[in-house]
Amino acid sequence: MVFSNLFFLYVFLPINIILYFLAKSNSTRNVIMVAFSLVFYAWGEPVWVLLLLFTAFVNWFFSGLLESPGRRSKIVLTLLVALDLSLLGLFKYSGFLYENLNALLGTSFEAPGFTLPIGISFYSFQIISYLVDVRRGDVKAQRSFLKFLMYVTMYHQLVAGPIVRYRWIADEVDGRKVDIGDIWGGFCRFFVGLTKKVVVANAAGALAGQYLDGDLSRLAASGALVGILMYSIQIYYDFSAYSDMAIGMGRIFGFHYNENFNYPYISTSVTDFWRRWHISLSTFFRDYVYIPLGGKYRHQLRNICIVWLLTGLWHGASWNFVLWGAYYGALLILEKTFLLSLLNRLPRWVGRVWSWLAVLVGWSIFYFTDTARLGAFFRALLGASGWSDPAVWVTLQNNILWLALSLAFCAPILPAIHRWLDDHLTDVGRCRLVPLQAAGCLALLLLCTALLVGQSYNPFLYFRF
Amino acid sequence: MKLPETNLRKLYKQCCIRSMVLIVAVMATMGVFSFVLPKPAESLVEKRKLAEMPAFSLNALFSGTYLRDFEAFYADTFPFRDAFIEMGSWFDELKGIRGSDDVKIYAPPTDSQPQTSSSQGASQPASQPQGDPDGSGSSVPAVTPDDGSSSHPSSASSQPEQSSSQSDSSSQGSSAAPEVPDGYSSNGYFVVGDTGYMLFGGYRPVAEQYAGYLTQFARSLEGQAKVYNIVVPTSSDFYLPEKYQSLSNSQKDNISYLYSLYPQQNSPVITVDAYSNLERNKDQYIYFRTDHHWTARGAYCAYEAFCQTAGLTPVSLDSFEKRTIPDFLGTVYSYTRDQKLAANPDYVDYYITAKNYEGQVVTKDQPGVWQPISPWAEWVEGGNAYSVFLWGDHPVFLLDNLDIEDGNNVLVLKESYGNAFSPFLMANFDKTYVIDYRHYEQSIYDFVLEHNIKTVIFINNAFAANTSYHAERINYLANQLPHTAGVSAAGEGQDQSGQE
Repeated sequence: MVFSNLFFLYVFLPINIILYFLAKSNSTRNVIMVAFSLVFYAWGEPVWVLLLLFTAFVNWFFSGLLESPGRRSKIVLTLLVALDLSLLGLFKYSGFLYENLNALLGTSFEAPGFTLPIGISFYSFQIISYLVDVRRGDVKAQRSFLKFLMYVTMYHQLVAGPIVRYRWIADEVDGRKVDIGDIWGGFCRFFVGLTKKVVVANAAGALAGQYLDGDLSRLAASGALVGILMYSIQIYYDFSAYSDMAIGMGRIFGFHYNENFNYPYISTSVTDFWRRWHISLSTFFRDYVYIPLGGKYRHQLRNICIVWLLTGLWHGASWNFVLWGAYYGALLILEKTFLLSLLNRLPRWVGRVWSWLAVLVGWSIFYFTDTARLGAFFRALLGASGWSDPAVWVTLQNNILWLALSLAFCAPILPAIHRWLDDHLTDVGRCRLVPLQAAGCLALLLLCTALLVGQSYNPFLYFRF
Repeated sequence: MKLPETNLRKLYKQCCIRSMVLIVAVMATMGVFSFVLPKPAESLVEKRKLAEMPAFSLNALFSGTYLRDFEAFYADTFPFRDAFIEMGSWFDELKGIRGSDDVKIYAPPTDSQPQTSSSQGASQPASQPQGDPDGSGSSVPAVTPDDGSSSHPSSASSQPEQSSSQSDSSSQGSSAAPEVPDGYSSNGYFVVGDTGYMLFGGYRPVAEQYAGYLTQFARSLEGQAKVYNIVVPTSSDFYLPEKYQSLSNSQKDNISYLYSLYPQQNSPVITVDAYSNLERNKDQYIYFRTDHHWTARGAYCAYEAFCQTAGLTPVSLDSFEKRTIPDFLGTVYSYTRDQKLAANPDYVDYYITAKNYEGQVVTKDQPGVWQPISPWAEWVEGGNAYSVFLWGDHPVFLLDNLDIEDGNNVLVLKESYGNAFSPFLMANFDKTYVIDYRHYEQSIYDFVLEHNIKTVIFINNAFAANTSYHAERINYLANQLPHTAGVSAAGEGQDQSGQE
């Protein structure tokens, strides 16, 4: 199931909320959350839900051994992490590996035909962060399997992040307090996320596909540019919408997940971009790969290369993702060596333009899993089939208000409004604001429903990562 | 957020709780509605059957198809669905402007949508278009730009008695043969002012295939019947503003190319230049603005051109009685839901082309059974008004002019463009047989012999002539072996088409 789905919005979520708040004790609420999460997951993966349960159980069962320092716990940690990574590797990368081995050796081994279990990239990383943190002594191992299962399978973040570390929500797993204002904030956040997905990301995706999925040898440069711009809008709104909805639902049920996006398209450098984009992934690699390898103190260049190779591969088992990771690794090294200090001395818009350009090229590499098509796209972008296409201008015109607003909301307008309201509203005003917000939420729900009706199935971009 | 006074904090909490309860109540109420309200079976707006509740099986559950189909069903039958769709198109209009040229482009839907129709797939007897030679076909429209004949209103009860079976069968038939053109422009539909266009792609290798198959077929009939080929342009060639002509490839070039192949092949196929006569009459109402078909007036241009080529005298249009169905919003409208089109509907004129006539039909449901029927389904209205001609698309239709008994019979092999055209032939021929090659399963060769047909006319719009599905279908029927035991051969034919 996905969040932008009528059955989820009108059946699954309201039943979950009603049952959750009818239950009085935390332990009943935990059971409810686990039950709903398993149904949510099994809805999309009726078979691989067993793999999820198995993985969660094995890791939970042995994690108690990690609390004592020493050799034994180190071995247990190594074995458990190796198990998690092997499962990830088996399901996600075996096909890719076979394909390349066969190409290299001229053999024809048949790859195991697994489908990738939904969310495996996310939950494997969550479990690894838990194991490492327990072993480091940052958090105590969870004694209750139910609670651990709730952490791993929580449907808000199970399939598309953010990658929530156990230690951030360990207290909330054990016991949650009800804060009405906070729950209300969660509601509003959820509907904002839903709107970002349905009103912006889906429409941008349709427009991007119109240009990028067709015959690239006949695509005008303006079409190529608009296409990749639309894809940039789509991927940001899609993925950050998912995080918004996850964070919003987390707050409704008393969990606080860290922010995953911080307006990445206003970055002033590529380094800045990666501090703002998919934060839970880059900090994961920072804390569990980069720093343990020596960080900036030992073999920094090597460490950066490893991290970006892994980042690329994490996004998909295909060479273009490796290239995409390498591209960003190279740009970051470039910025570290001289570019960043140069950018710092120039006006800020120069850095913004630079990072926009870098990101647009990055999304091009990301989009085309077929390198021949990637080449054809860049040729089109450089004007191989002319520059202008009347259809592009008509399309832009037909979507001009939508496009202007979508681009504008890439900047932190909503936080600015929040701050202004905080500064200017009286306490009574704050109370009056709530019904207005509620009307806004309902209006957004109505609009999203209108756009969702007729679309029966609406997968998120980040599902298969 | 700090609220110092406890009663204010209480007030704030109360506001939040009430808002949350309201929102969850709205969601839950709609959820309850979605189960207790009666579920519609078909959508008049989209002219298609809605997804049905899937049958449960453990196999379907574990393979994931059960829940996917359930979601499709849930979305297809969501409460107040038509109102929501209407709201969606209203919102679409707000997203931008049409500029000084008053133009709007509609993209074909993305991958997320065809799921809805996939559940119908099982019941579709004819195959979807095969192959996709130029690789742009990933973006085929989910709501196929087929015939206005698509589905008849479900309110068959208000119709003449014999109509109920017709309307049922044609609503199935129409969803069976989507007219999705190869090389279909990925730019989708284009609306200028109050006129919508389907943008032409065209693909010469398919045009060549189409021409080749017709030649083969004509050779097999040499000595028995003359074979004419009419390829009809759609409206974009005549009316698309100069500035936007580049959005759609030239149908004139494509048709000339296709016609030029016959002399090269030394082919017995006789080509009919409908294009020039349509162009001469382009100031008349020859195409609909909200539908991809031509009007009867447009079809008359092709009839005149045919008569000229065949050495017949066309009967003057004024001599026929004209009747009109108002307020026709056709396929281009139902695909785009464009507000400008909605505000300016078309009307459908049809001409009673004989004084004394009879009609008969063979439906998909009852192959081999000839049922009496009027040539015009005069009760149709709204989005279905094009189905006034021959009741939409049926395997075989017979138009019999009772005032001509000279045994000079004609066979029209057509897609839906042939529906408006065929009735004019009644004025010149004894019996006019009309076969929709997308729905017919038996040997056409046999049919020609059996009904003593001397003239065979292929009529297709330029999109169809550039679609390999249509070419393959014609070839398939042409190569159906002549048979003596009708029943068994028909059975085989159906099996084969199922495997296509």
